[in-house]
Amino acid sequence: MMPRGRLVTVAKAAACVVFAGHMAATCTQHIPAGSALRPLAAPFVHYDELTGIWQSWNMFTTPPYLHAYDVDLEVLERDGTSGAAGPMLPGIRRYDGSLRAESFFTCVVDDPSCSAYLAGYLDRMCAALHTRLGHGGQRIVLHEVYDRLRLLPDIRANGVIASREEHRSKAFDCGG
Amino acid sequence: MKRAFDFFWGPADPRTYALVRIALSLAALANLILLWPVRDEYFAQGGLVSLAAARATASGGLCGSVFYVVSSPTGVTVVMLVAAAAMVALCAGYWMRFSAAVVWLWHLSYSGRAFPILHSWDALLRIYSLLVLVSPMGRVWSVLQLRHPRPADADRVPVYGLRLMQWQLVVVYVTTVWLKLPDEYWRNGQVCAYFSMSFYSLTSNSTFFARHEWLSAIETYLSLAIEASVPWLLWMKKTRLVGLAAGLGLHFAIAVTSTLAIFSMCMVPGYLSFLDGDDIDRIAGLARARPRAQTLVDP
Repeated sequence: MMPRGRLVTVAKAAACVVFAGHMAATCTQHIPAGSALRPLAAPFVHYDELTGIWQSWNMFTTPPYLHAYDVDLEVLERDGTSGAAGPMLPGIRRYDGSLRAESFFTCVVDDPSCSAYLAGYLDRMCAALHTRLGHGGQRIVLHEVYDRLRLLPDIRANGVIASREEHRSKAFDCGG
Repeated sequence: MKRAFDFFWGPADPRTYALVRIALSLAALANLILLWPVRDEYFAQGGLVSLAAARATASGGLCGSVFYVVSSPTGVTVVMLVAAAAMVALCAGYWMRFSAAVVWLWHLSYSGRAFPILHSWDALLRIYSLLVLVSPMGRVWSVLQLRHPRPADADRVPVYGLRLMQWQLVVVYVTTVWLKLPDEYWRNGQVCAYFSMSFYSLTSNSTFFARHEWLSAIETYLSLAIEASVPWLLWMKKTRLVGLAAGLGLHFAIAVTSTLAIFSMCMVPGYLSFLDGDDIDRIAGLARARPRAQTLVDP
């Protein structure tokens, strides 16, 4: 039988291997997708998910582009009338201007990888409109307003910080 | 082999773990307080983020979330209250291992429930709460020690948890510098001018840095230099306090000029993980010396 001190040493040595593996998992997920070394990250994917150490540190790797951001909802009725509504749920409230809400709307409106979130959001918004208005059948459009930062020489020339751009999503049919 | 063994199992001052635990708890609590008013928007059924979409995003992987099961507004409120209580308990050093587990589960859960709203500080909280959970806890600076102090409370503990936290901070900075360096705006020093007029800034209507672009260039290059050097400054004992001052100074500046104060708060535990017993004594000595110096000059 192995003496207790020896067992402890073996256990600690095994823990060293786990620690080294954790460090490798932390590191390898940052290897660029196109790199020949990227397959090194594959064995750690489930470990990253299970422990929650999945990460990306691409914050401000480019300058911010927007001076201001706003979003609202255009509601088009079947009879041709239209109105504006807040895009926040629950409660169909106005956009609250927070970083988290901005992340959500730019994700669902502008990023194809968020299409599942967009579909879920539209389902809920249609249901909320149905409850509030007492009928369904609307078409809804997400209307984004960007104040996009101008180039520094242009800002210095006349003091105007940003130029306004508007973007409308395609119209989504609530059905029913 | 022995060096590798000592790298993880060498002795550490338990006060360092206590500092990280307290800083992490406070940052986690601040983040939870910010999420509290919008909990129904992001975590409850009927909010902005569809549960089915969150499950679909996580399917095939091992991401889990309490919010896959709890989706009513009341349930979400209860989960957040339990998480807040765990953060307070972890900060106070009460039921530490259990509290750390709850805090880690909270961070896993909200991250898994609302992917589109996540930012870098959410990842910091998730990762450091795991590392605190698996680290030696000790009784230093806890309610338990306050009520029943023991001579063994100050005994050295294994350093492995701090090593993993230090490694994480190195990865954060090496990665971000790697990604920033090729960008032309970081290279020409204009990033801080644009940042100061962006919606992240608290003074976004001021064109000061656009009109004084040389100041933006100094600020941009200085922040890059700090980000590139901080891991190494913190690693070497001789330069550790310089690294601490430079890094925390950068994050203090971010906190007071932008809407990203929570991000700065979440960076603090990583910095504290580099301190050893001597550093803590030196900082405590500096803090004690200051009031005494004031007393000497006061009439």
